[in-house]
Amino acid sequence: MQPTTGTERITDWLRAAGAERPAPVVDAATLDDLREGLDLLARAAAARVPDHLRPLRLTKATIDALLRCPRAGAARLAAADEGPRSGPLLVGALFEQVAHLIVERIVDPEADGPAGTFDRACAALAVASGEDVDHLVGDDARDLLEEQLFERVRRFRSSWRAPLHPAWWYRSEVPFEVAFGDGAAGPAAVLACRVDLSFGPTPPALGSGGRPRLLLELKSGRHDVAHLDDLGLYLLAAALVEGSAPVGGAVWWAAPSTPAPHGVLQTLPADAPTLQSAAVRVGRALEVAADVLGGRVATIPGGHCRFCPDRTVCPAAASSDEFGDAW
Amino acid sequence: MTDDPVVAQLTEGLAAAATGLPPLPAPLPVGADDALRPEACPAHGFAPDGPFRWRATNARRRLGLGVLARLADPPPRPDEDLPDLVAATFDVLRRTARPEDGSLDAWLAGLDTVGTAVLRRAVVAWASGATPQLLPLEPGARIVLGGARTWRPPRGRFVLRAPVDVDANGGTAVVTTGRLGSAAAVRATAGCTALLAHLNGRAPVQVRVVVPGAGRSEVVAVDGMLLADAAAAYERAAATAVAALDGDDRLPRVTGEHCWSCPRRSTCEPGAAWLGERRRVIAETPR
Repeated sequence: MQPTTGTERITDWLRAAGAERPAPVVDAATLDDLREGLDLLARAAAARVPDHLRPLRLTKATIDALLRCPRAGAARLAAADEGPRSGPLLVGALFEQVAHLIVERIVDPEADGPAGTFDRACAALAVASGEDVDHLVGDDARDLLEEQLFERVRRFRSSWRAPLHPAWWYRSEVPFEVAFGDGAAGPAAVLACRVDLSFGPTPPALGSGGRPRLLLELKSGRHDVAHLDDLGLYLLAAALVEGSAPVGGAVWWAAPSTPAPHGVLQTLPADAPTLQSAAVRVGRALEVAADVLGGRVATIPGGHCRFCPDRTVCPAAASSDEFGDAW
Repeated sequence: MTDDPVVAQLTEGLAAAATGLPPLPAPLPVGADDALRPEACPAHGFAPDGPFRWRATNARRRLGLGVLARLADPPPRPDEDLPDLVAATFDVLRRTARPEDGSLDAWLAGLDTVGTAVLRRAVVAWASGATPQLLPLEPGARIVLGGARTWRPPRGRFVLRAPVDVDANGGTAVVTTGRLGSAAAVRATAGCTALLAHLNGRAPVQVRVVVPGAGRSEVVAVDGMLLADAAAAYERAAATAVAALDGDDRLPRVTGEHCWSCPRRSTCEPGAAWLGERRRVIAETPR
């Protein structure tokens, strides 16, 4: 699978990848090397933090925060309740619900229109997570959210043109938990991921098989190549849990501020460079996490400040406006 | 009076915790989540339950176990498509739900097409991940519908509860959990499951703690020490539950490194202050 960028539709990508019946390109020895290296780094990092904070639990958000700004990483590690979702995150959560319903052919946004689509998204989110969005937003906010959601949903619908091939199964919100540095006290660190969509052959009821071959991450906002780093983490996690690398993955962005009628799709092969790059990020994040929890943190302001749990109290966040609207 | 030292200790401990407990319409529930809190701070992670509301995230395991129970007997053929099996079984469960059966079934029966699709997706994902880990069952084992066991001591004021997915009938009990934890956390989880089985008549020989997302499990041997530690944890949790009856703000707050991992660290004043000071020192320390 060759990396691509641009206007390819999700449906075309899946059809081409499925038709190729591709085999993983990363061998078991490479995966063993990656795991061995991360085991060593995880043990070294865990040795620098108090026992009760082990295993160090890294998610894509934690890793991203730790590598952008250690203070943001500290805040993310310590964030219990980040409060109500901001507008972009709320639209993202609603969009994700509608996208699943489109894949399952439960809803038709063109028939429902903006208001109907918004209602269905709210109903889906209420069942999924218990969030009662419909009763939380006022009429003005609702109009804006409806409009923003529908623009994104229309682009996704344009990119997802056909039903999934019957020989393939799709799974949503697939959790992957990878332990590193196992010892008598348990793992030294855990990489925890949750993939929006994974596709693969239908698994049998018992026994092996049916491993995810392609992973797809959906983004309701603007195109940002940093999201490919997240996808790399997912590919690494899936490879280490399953013992066999997926074939590849893609990130789809609604990219609402661009003229792209069906969003932007960028693919990533699950080859050795991709997995090694992801492993390097995990390793660096482990080192910074050990710094943070061991008492050493610096502050680096940037566009990421707007999503930082410490944004209201951190002096550096006040200067982050100059980085513009990242959404 | 029982000859079992674990039951005797627990009964005595719970009776002591109930001292001063006002009359209540029902026994006070004490769950494994309560028992698994760290000892350092009684208020750690404690938050009063809001109005309970069913949603996919708290219903998927319970419904998924219902699916697995139907799939377990007879066991599926190895070549059958797992997602189709799980989805079809879920549809049967949903169709046969009757509102009078309880709050979960009433919620299920009231879901529209969109809600059903969301829940179906969550249950299929959970059950498809758990099936290879839980099936086929050992001889004599069974899926535990509801995913939990409870125990109430004679004339007791508390009802203890612990998760269990497969009842071992003396063999290997199985409990699923969503995330990988330390060896101590795995042992504590296994202890709660084993203790509730013991209190209901027969402890398993071992408990297998399964993390479907990790594709792996840990086996914990059951012995007297494991059961005694779990009993002590439930006694502490019961005392905390009593102290929190008049408002969890009355619970003593003990700050420390455990605040980093406390789920209520942003709303606990002493904890937030401790973390704020710690962060200030951290931010002023050059790298």
